[in-house]
Amino acid sequence: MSVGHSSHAAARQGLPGNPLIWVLILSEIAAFSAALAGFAVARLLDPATFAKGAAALNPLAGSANTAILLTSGLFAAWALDAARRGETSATRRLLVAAASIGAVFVVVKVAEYVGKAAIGLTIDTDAFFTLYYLVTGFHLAHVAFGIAILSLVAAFPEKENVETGVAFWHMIDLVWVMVFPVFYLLR
Amino acid sequence: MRASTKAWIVTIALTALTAAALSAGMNAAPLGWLAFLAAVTLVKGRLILLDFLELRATGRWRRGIVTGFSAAILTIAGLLALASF
Repeated sequence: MSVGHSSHAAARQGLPGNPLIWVLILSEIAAFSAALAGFAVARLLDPATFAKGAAALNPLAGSANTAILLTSGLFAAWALDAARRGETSATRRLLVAAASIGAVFVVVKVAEYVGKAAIGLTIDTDAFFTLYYLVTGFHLAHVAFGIAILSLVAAFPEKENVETGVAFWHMIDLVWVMVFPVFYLLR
Repeated sequence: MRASTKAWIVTIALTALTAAALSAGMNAAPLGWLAFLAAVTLVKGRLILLDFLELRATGRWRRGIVTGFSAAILTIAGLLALASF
């Protein structure tokens, strides 16, 4: 069972999937890095507001969403292994599982937004919450788009489609791993 | 065990460890906490790049992308650290 993923990766020197997806992945990492650098500078200028804002977020919800995205990413990786072995129905099932787990991330995040809005913490509360809603909202839009991509790839599970769609999904994982500690864990 | 499964186990364990460390009050020393978070983010990000995005065997692509990602994390951490002085 371990042959597909490992041996394929070991045999390759180039990037997996369509090269254009890597242009997108690197662009997204750069864009979110710039946004987080902007957050760091804004925090430097007004540390009290940012400490108060961070204290209002629930690190457990953020940790749960991290685990959810990582688990979804694992199913996506398994889907790619299945696609490389030519197992179409397994590929489809695993892609649908990855997308479904990704949908749980959306539910948790929307519940967080609704909870914050209910106590008056909205996008125009202060600089912390403006950046919180913009950065995590932009990421959430990527998650929603990624779920649509995984669903589309499940309908057309050719190997290159799966490689490209799964790479996009892992990029969303990677960006969240950067965003999560900055907003939820710094005090 | 597949590389992606191993990466998942480590990243999940690090996520749990971070949540536990925050609950235990490890964030009381801001610079130490920031260094811990940056280290955890570097390890998790590296595993996602190498074993989920399959860069482990891609030679210079791996070196370039992992170095760029690490530089981004260290820059952000450095900017965040300035608030502690």
